Amino acid sequence: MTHPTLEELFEVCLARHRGEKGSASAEKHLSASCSLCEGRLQEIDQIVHAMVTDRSPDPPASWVERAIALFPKASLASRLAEFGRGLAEEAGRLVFSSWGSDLPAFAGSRGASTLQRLRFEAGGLELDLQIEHAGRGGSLLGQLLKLNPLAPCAGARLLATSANSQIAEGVSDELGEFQLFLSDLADVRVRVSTEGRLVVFEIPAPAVEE
Amino acid sequence: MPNSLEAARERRVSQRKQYESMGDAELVSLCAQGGALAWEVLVRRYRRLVYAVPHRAGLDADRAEEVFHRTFSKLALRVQSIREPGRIQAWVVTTARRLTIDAMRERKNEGQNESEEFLHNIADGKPGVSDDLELLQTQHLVRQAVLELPASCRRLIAKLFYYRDQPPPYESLAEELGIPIGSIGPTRSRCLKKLLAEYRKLEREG
Repeated sequence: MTHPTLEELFEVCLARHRGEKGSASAEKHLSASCSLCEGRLQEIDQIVHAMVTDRSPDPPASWVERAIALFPKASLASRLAEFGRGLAEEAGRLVFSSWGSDLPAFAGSRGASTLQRLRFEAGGLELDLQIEHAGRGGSLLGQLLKLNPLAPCAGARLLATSANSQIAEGVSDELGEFQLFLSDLADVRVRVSTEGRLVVFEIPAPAVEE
Repeated sequence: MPNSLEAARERRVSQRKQYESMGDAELVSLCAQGGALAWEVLVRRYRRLVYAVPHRAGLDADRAEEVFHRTFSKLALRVQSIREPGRIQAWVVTTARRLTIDAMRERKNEGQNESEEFLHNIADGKPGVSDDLELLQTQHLVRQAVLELPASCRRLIAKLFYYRDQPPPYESLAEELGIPIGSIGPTRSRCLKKLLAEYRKLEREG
């Protein structure tokens, strides 16, 4: 017995939807009660029926945006509780900010984005951070170094958070480098968990340029 | 230092595409690790299905919005502890249905004219209503399968099956899609075959 191909079964299904019959050979085969082809046809019919009856409207975009914004808040609390669990928090000390220096190379603007360069220290750990602002968000490009002796701090876990509960996570690479992206850069904190330590770096807001 | 913001943006776009092609279980697992982008993809994937439940029940816009918002609020809180991430579709529909029932009862208590029959049926999960919810879920799955098709197939399927009133005549379809009229039938067959394969894959994953 030769079974109709899937294409032929689709044609039968579409023809029946139009109130017509499919090809004579396929219809003849189906009328002989082939359970395999009946099952396939039923499955095809389910798909075609789902498509032609699908008139569900899209919800308003504002509802979707509100739902998307829900997650970070719920997620932030549990991530903060989990990140560096059991470790005492140390605060990183800001030792350099390009906004407060006269080094134009570090405090420039490029098109719609602005750059901010910061350096922190925390008990033998150094964080060199470049923040590129674009609109409300931007990227955090950084390098973590151990100072005694000087060596990249690889494999450190990072969690960046912002005031609007945005989260970005990453791990420093073999050079101690990392890149994080936040869609909102208000009140950013970068938490670093490495070698049994948890260091929190508070990013100061950029100074307002004249 | 790693390079510029454009590179970060490009990486985000490619990550989004990657997430969009992931199954629910993978997305839920990424959400559980704090993945905001995974959550966004999940919300966009389920927005229509969640909305369809209160919409079909005839709730007004304010109450439908409340059901929509509360369903995703519950999901945001529960996403890290959902036992069977692959069954999220059933979880979402059940939650939206329960919240819709609550909203309908509330409306009834406020003395508004309510469809007694629908409330009774939806609360008891009578065949008519559960069929309706089942159809919604199938429609959701088929839409997901369509999204997995090549762009040319997606366009053809959308025109042929997701029409408003009547399917468009082949002449205008051929002109609109820029393909010979004689190739519509064979292309349609190939696309439907691919759609069936994607649908089966998603069903297995679910």
